[in-house]
Formats: sequence, structure tokens, C-alpha cells
Amino acid sequence: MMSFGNKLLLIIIILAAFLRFYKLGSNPPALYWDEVSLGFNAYSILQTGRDEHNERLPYNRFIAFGDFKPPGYIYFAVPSVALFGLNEFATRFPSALAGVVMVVMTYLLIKELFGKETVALLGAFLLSISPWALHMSRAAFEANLAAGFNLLAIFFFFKALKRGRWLLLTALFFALTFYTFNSNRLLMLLLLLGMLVFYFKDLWQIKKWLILGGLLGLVLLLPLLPYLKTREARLRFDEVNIFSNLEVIKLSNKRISTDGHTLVARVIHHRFLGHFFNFLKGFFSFFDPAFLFFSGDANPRLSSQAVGELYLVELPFLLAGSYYLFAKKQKHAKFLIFWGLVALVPASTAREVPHALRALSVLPVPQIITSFSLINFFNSLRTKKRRLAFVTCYSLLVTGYFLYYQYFYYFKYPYLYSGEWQYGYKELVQEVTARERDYDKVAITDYIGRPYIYFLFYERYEPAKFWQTVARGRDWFGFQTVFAFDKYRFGNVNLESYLAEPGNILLAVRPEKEIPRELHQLKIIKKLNGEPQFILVEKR
Amino acid sequence: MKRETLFLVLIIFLAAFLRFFRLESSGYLSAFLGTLTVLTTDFLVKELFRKKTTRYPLPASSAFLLAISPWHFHLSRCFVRTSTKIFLITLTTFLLLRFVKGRKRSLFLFLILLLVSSWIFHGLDWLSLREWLPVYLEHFNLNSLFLTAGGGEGELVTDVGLLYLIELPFLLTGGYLLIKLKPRGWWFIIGWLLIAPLTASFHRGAPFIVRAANFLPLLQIVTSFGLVNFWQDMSRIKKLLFTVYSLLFTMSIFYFFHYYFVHLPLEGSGFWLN
Repeated sequence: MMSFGNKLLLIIIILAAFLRFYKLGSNPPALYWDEVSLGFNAYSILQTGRDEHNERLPYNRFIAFGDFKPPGYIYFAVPSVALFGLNEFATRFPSALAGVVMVVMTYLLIKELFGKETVALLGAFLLSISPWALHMSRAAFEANLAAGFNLLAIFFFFKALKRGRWLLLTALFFALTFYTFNSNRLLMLLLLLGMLVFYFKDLWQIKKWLILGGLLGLVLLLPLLPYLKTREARLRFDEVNIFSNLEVIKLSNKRISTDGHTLVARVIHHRFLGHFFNFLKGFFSFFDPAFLFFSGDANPRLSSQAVGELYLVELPFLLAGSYYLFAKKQKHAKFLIFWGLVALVPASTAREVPHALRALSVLPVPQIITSFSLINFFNSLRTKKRRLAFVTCYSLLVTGYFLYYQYFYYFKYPYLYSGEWQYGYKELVQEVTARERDYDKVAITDYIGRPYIYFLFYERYEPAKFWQTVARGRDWFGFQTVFAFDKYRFGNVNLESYLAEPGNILLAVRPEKEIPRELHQLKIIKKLNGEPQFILVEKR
Repeated sequence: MKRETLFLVLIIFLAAFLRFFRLESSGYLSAFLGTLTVLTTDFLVKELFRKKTTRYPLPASSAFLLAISPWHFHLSRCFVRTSTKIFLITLTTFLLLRFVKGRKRSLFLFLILLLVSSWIFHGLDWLSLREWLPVYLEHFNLNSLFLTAGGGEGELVTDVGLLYLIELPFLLTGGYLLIKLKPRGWWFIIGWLLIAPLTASFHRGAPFIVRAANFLPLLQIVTSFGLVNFWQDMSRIKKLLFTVYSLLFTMSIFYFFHYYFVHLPLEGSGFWLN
């Protein structure tokens, strides 16, 4: 017989799974190019043991678009692609599954930390309906899988404080975060540092396992270390981080010269200080109320724009909870707050801040604090009447917010932002595939980026055939462009020049293009809001 | 002269010097009221905590933090209406605390005071609740307070905010300790903190430095509460830390005024020039 708590947990898990898997393939309305790339590379590994670039089982990075993706997500997508076939659902499956696992792990972690069933259940529930967690679980985001591994690693760390051998699992999962998402590489080091500082005494008790765990971690990371020093690993970092900002250096030089190049001037206007302040600006931006409570990440792919990353009704309890953690000298309070803060650090070194994805491993800290504080508040209410009133009002508020969010997410979001998800490629590929037999060549515009990967993905194209016919180029940053494979050409489609070419040609162009009279327009492919995305024309 | 009075006089001189330094005569009234506000702040803090429970340097350190505050300094020089408002608020609040008894009544009167003064000095612009709530919370934006002075994106990169970055840890400590230790007057301070941004409806178009001015000298008081309580009994390590901290704080102060008088005029369109 299940206990009441376990029954509740089961309900929460079912709710979490439903919210994450329902219509997973069709909302968000299309696959963004990174998702498609992850999916196709997994497919390619499954079919041939090689990636899209004909590299055998890459373990340090996948070249992909030349953005050098970490390998974790792709390998975890292999089983789901094998099981469900190459489609949207299978591609997003690992992320959604990680989302559900995180809900369970939140429950287990809170029990491990505070030993309180009620707090654990409430925390798991809050995570299951959290806009931040939900949104990221419903697309193939490497960060979400990494956040799951991160949570597992931390959970096993606290288990290890009681029984040392669990440290091996901490090492394993931390290594997995390292293989899955770039931001987690720095975060892992910071968290390890925090664990050593806050739990030095406890770790000393289990030093044998600490050493073994450390060795295991090192062995697991060893294959990756040479790669981290290469130019390609650094380029990606330079591209997004604030420390390559030339404005800081210019300003620093200008101020130093105003102050006459003295030693003091060189110290007080040093560019390191400028970088430091920029970093802090990024860090503080995560506490921007608009980001946290009103509209979320400014990028519509990363947030629905309708609600914040957290629910506004959580705010008072988040604040009170942070206070109570310290005031009541709650066990593990310091580490929890530390985790919540350092999870924002890697993201703060990037130019786009606040960034909901790069800081995702902060979850479920806000939910833990909120549920801790909610239960505390509930217990502090003396009479039954007050408790009932509080529970009723608060659940109504949360439900209201949640339903509004879900309504928006399913009924407005896809229509408003289908363009952000590069909606139209799937429809384009289907149209082209149905007609292409009648044409000698097919030319596709690349104006919304990287069309080739969609053709590979939706045609389930044989990787081996692709390797033979592909024509690629790469720019200085290492980004790669596919110009052609099979009978497809990708690029800026110049209609006039195709007019002069012999043979029947099928062309997909951007909607603003003027179509010469000699060409015949076949179909307009529209975004969900009705705006045209592609126009399909033919030359016979 | 008592040591306390001497310190206060010095602080007032410092405040006056900073506010009048290289100022055009059109700003004299504002600068004068700004200087007086430092004095009323001292009175206000004495009244808030009452003498017995007040640790000696609390009123003076609040006054000092206000005297050197970039925020209040700039308001006193350039925004005559707002600095008049802040002066009147500190003065009236002092009287209010002195003569009105009862928490609820004095907080209510304070709320009226803030609303009326904001209305008189800035006019009214009704916002719906949906619009108003984000604006309310925006007052607590750490970037606006500590780094960008409320300047938007694309403006000149400055690293000088309305509050000194180095005050941040003690603003937090101060808030924490106020709730934990519950000294006399703590409820009034927390009430003030929550009430101050209520006037968001009154000056939507105004720059952050004006919009959020109801936080003056409240944030300085909270910070100094944190500072005074944290450094009260010093171990050896704390003494060392204190020395380092004071040094950094002094450097921050000098840096700000150096920046304000030397670099700002050259760097053009920054928010501070206004």
C-alpha cells in the first residue's frame, strides 16, 4: 500500500510528465536549427556510427554547424531516435525526460536536505509547473539535460555525506554535465569548490571516497581536456563572452590618458575593473524583476513572454525563504544560496543577459526556497481557519497564473512566435520532396539560415549519401555553410540567373522577392501568424 | 563640544563642500536644502531608533553616507524639486515620529506624506495595476541602483551607480539584521521600503534618480545599520577586514568624485550630466 505522500508524488510526476510530453512535437511549433542538428546527428550516429561530418563516434565535440556542440545531448538522443524514429518528438525527448526526472530529484533532494516530506512534495510540485522548467523541457535544449545531471550530481553528493560511496555517482553526473553544456563546465568547478569549502569536515570523514570520486571524475574528463585548449573550443567562447569587448579597453585607455598615464590612473581605470563591472551588470541583470516575474527571457524562443521565469506570487516567499534559511540557521542554507548564485555566474560572462538557458542549472533552487518558506508560513498560522484561508487563496492565485500561462502557451505562443522557431522549413521540405522528381535542380534560399539540415532531417536522408555529394565552405570563425548536396542548392537564390540555366528548376525564395513573369508560382508557405515564409516557384 | 556634535558638524561641512563645489549660482537653493537634509537625516535616525537603543555612531554614519552619496549629491546639485521634496520628507518624518504615536497611524501618515509630496512635485500619471506593478518592482533593480544609475542600454558605459557598490553587502546585512534584531523603529523602515516605490504612478517619464528618490535617505540608514552592527565587536580578523573595507570605501568615494568632476564632462552624453 502506498503512503499518502507517495500517492501525491505520483500525481505530481504524472502532472509533470503530462505538461512536458503533451504535444511535445508540435509546440513549440517547429524545430529550431540547433534542435534539428542534434536530432540528425543522433540519427546519423544510429545509422552509421558516424556524425554528419563522417567523423567516427566523436567524444569531445560534434562539428555540426561549426559551432562545435558538446556530445552529451546527441548521444542521449540516439536511443529515443531509435525508438520513435527521427522526428520532433524523439529529438526533444531527452530534454523532456530530464524535466520529469528533475521533478523527482527535487523531491528526493529536499528530503535529503531538510528531511521534510511536505516541503519536498511542494517543491516538486512547484518545479513541475514552473514556467522556467517547463519551457526549457519542451525543446531540445542541451542546458536542460545538463541541469538534470547537475541536480543528480548534487543529490548524490548529499547522499554521500551519509554514505561515502555515492560520491562516485556525483563524479559521474558532474562529468556528464561537462559533456553536455558549455556553461556547466565552469559551474561544475564552482560547485565543487563550494562543496569543498562548506562541507570540508564531512568530506574529510569520507576522504577515501573523495579521492576515488576525484580520480573517477578526472578519468572521465581526460578525453576532453586536450580539446578544451584548441582554437575551436576557444573561438566559441570568445564569440559570446564579455571579456573580448573592445569598448571597455577603449574607455579604459581614454580615461588613463585623461589622467595623464600615472600609475594610479592605470590602476583605477584598469580594463579588468571595466570587465568586472560588466560582469556584475550581467549578474545583477538576473535579478531584474521583468526577467524574473513579468516577461522572462527577452528571446521568445527561451520564454513564452507571457509570464516571468518564476511566478510573481512566489516572490514574497522567495524573499522570506532566503531570510528564514539564515535566520533559523537551517542546515545546508549556505550551500543552497551559494548554488543559486554561482549558477548565474557562467551566464553573466556572456553578452546576452539575462539568459534563461545558460543559467538553467539554477533550478530547482528558487522552488526549494519557496516551498520551504511556504510550509514555514503555513505552520506559523495558528488557527485552522487561517490555514484554510491561506491555502485556498494561494492555490487560487497559483492556479490562475498557471492556467493563464498554459492558455497562452498553447493558444497564443505558437502563432505569435512560429517565426522564431523557423517555422516553414518542415512544410517546405514536404512540398519539395513531393515535387522534386519533375525537376533537374532544386534551389533553396538560406535567408532564415541553414536549410540543408532540415532537408536531411525531414527526408531522413542517408548520411553516407550526404557525405558523397555535400559541398561545404567555412568562415574564419569556423562556422560552416552547406552550399549543396544531392540536387539541392542552398544560398541566395538569384532568379534572373536561374532563368538563363537549362532544365526544369524548382526554387524556394524569400517572400519579398519579385518573381519574373517567366516563372510560375506554385505555393506560398506561411508562418502560423499568416505571414509568408517561403514562396515556391518553378522554371520550366 | 561633544565628539558626536563635532562629527556632525564636520559631516555637514563635507556635505556643503561637495554640494557647492564648482556649482553655478542657480543651484544654490537646491544645494543648500541638500546640505540641510544631511542634518535632518541625523535627527530622523535619532528619532527612529531613540537614543537608548541607538549605538552611538548610527545617526552620524547615516548622515555621513548621505553626505557622500552619489545619488543625493547629484540630486542636490541638479534637481531642485526632488531635493526639496527629500528635505521636506525627512523633516516631516522626523516630526511625525516625534509627535505621532502608534505604528499604524504614523505609517499611514507617512504614506500620505509620500503620495502628496510626489504629487505636488511631479504631478500625477495614472497607471493600471498591470502597468504599475512592474514599475514598482523596477525600483529594486540592482543594476539601476548600483551600476548604471538607471541609464538604459546603449548609453555610455559607466561604472558608477547611485549607490556605492561597496555598500551592497551592508545594505543586505542591514536589512537582514533589522528584521532579525527588530530594533525600535524597524517596522517604520521596512514600511518605508515598501511604500517608497508606491509613488511609481507619479513620475513615469522621470529618470530613475528622480523616480526612486523616495529611497533617500532610507537606504543609507539601512546600510549604516548594517555597518554599525557588523563592526560593533571586533575580533582580530574583523579589524583587518575593517581596515581593508574602509580603504576600499574611501577609494570608491574618491573615485566617484574624481569621475564626476574630471571624466564625466569629457565623456559627454552620460546620464549624470542631464
